Amino acid sequence: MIVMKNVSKIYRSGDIETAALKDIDLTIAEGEFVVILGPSGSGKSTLLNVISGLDSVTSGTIQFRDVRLTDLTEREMTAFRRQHLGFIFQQYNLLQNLTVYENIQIGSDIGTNPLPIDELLESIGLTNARDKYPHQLSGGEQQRVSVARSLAKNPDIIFCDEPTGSLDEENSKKVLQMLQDLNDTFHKTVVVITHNNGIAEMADQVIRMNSGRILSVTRNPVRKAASAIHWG
Amino acid sequence: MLLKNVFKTLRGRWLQLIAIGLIIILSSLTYTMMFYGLSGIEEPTETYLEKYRQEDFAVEFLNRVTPEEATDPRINALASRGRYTLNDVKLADTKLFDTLIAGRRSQFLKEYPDTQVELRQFKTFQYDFKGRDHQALLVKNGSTINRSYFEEGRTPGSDDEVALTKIYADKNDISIGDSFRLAGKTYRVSGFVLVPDYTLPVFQESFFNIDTALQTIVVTTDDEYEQIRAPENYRFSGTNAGERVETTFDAKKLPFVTNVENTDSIMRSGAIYDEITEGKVVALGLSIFIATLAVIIVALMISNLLQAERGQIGILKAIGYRRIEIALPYLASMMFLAFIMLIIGYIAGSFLAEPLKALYLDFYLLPSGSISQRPVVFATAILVPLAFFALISGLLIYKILGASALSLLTPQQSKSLNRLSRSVSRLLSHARSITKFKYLYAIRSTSSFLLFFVGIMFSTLLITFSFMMVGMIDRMTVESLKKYEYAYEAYIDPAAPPALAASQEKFLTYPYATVDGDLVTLHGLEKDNRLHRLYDGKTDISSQTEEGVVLTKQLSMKLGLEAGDMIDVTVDDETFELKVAGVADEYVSKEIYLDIETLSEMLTEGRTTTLFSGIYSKQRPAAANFPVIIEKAGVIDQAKAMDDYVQLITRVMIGAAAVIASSILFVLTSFTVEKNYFTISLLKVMGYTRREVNAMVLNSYFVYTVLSCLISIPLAYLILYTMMRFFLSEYDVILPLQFEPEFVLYTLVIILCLFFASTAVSRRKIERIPLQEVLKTYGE
Repeated sequence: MIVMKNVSKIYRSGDIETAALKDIDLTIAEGEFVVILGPSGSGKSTLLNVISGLDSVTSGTIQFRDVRLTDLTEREMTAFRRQHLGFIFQQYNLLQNLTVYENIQIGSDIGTNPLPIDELLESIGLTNARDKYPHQLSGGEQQRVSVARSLAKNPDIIFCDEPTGSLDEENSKKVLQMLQDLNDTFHKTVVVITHNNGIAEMADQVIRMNSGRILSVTRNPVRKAASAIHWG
Repeated sequence: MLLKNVFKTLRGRWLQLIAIGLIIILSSLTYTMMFYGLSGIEEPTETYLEKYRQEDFAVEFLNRVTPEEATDPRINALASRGRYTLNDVKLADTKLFDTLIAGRRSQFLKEYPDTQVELRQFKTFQYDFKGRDHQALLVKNGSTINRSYFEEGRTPGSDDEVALTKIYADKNDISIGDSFRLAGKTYRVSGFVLVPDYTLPVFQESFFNIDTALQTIVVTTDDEYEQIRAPENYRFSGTNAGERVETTFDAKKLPFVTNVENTDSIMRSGAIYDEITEGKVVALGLSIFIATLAVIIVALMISNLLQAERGQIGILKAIGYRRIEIALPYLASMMFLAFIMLIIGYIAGSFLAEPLKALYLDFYLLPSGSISQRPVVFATAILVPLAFFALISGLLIYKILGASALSLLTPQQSKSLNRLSRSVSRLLSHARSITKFKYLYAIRSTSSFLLFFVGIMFSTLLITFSFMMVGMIDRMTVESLKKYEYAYEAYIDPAAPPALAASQEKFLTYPYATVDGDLVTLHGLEKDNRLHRLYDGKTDISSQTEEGVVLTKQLSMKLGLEAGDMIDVTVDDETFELKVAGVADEYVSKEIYLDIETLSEMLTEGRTTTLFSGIYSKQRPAAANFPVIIEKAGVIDQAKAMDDYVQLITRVMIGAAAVIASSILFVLTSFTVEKNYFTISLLKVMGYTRREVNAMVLNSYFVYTVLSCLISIPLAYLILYTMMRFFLSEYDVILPLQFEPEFVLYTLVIILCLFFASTAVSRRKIERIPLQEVLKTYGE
């Protein structure tokens, strides 16, 4: 589904050059649950940025199905994200003026084949909170709304950047379980960036990074359920 | 070091600071300019009016003999020969005239025992100066009241000397010692004169013109005054022991009196009082209003600044800095900037006060004094607003910095919605979330929205006022004249009516009729006249004089009468009930048009239908046959200077509106973009296009701008209508401010142009927000 070849990303600040990604080759298959692991500064966020088209590459190519993302203009890239990608971030980024339902609707409004919002609300267990505003929800509930919002437009891939970074274990596992259900039930490709080794146990493919390079790519013979992973 | 850090932060917001600075400058500039400009007139004016004894009140009386006065056989003999005006009596027998006036004076003093009155004698006439029609008000020197004040030179000492107003002389390059041709005779200019009962050069009630380049007060010796042949008028000028005299009087006891007015209600002598008083109130009110906008906007900026720097403030608190140490650099730098802007405004205002004073003196006939700096003005223009800035900013900073270090270090928790947001949310409950998001965004902060709404409203009011003022002077003065076909209006000597040419059309005027005690002029026109048609808008309503009478707009508004109503008109002791058949678009005079034959019969108790007092003509009539000839083109010419003045005001108003609206729009929209940095990034990441994001974040302002604008337009109309009523009731002057439906469109177009120009920077900012921002720590 996604093929990256010789991808490098160099940031320039005055005369100083910092290579955030160095000659990355990576393949992510359709419907995979991928976890990218690495310490701070390893380049995992940059990798997510370039795969998802949030940032450009310095060299190399990224192919999504038969579209070469690295050749797209800004406008085409926006259209691509609109149609195919969903995002979940460590911060929930909910719109404070809108209710739970409306926050999800903001996601579904731009989809060509959106999922029913009521079903999404039911799946995240917040049907009764549909008319509540973000400030009336707990952190875990807010992140679940953020998951529902990213799903609402029915994207092909969901990119998650430290989705449990702001949550406690109980809420983190609930969110991870939702991501796993998405992957299992709807066959969505899920790419999770984390520094939590335990989450790797849920993945089909685990990519470990450091200093802008991929150290290893391993596959789990058996995926663990979110509730069964070792937390920490 | 902290101060340096704050300065660097502010340097990055230089555009916002300029916009805020403009509003702050405008607030102190408005106050300083208007206060100094007005005080430069007020002080010398007060001294002059007191020293030269301006009248406290004026008594307008009939310029014809009353039936009671006609019981005197000498007067009766004159009246029976058709010579019934005071002018006629004076020309025929000066002593008889003096006796008649002495009788009127004693009758008046019997009713008003605590007053002193003096006869004011004056003549108005037109003359040619360098090929243009000029107008003179020749006044006879007052002996105890309304004494002449010579700004330069001296009083005319011989019959070939004349004194003029200085502004007129300056505008026409006339110096003391120059010769000056007037009423067919050459005089030498001996000095420049002012008279206290004409602080505004309103020389004729029927023609509102205050152009000081084309009209002047003229003073000669008393003997020479009597020699100059021109229509003469009279009134009593009075002073009294108390504050104001009673203006209602018993018409049976004072049958010759038409009006008693206190000076502050008389346009020609009292308008300056309202001008100064209201000017100061407006100066203070406007500057307080603009300063309030500035205070709110500075407070918003400080709030945004501190919210954006919560993290670093939290760290400073965590490592031991005290609240006051952190607050001081923010407060000091903002106060320093505000102080600089207020000083700039003060200096600019001081410089502009001189042209403003000159502008007043361009129209008011007053002595000028120099403008001196005053500590109290400095304090009001600078220290008072600065104190407000400091107070509001200080409270805000103190409150925000009151949070604990830990809470400052944590991204700010979202707050509950304000009342306005909840209301709009309910209103949009069935709308799409994008729509709801869009319209709730601009109103998240009540103070920002209030500032925005009031700012746009104020600008719309100014722009609407400007449009409504366009053409006002024309309508007020000469618009109706322009519609008339005649080129000359000439008055006959009733004692020797001339034979008329076929192209000349007769008219008959009678200025002594009364309606509800108010003096009105009856104006008789020939049935099928071509030269003086009457119009209501574009419709010719001349034929309506066959069905009844046609009122001028001013009289119609004053009496509240419309077509179809009945009007009681009193001529001498007889009252006629007439049907109002129409209202003509004339805003200056209180006249009633009717058929000339009908009027002739009314005035002669049915004896003749052929009476007339003058003619209209396309060609200049022979001067030998007509003692008074008025050229229409000259009158139209005289209105031009006032039109220029109104155009200047219009431009200043639109300019001020543009500065205020664009500054507020720019600052608020750029605040919105800054505050929603992460949200905008998120929307972009989700796949919303640049256009959609722009629409979601900024277009709500667009709709609210339109709404605010549309609400303000009727409000502007209401305010101006109130002003019109005020002028009508206070001064009998209609300000013909006109509202046309297309003004809504023009105002909207200007406001929207300002909107798009002011939000252009914010649109670019939105485009520049990187997608990766959403990955950073997010603070709502």
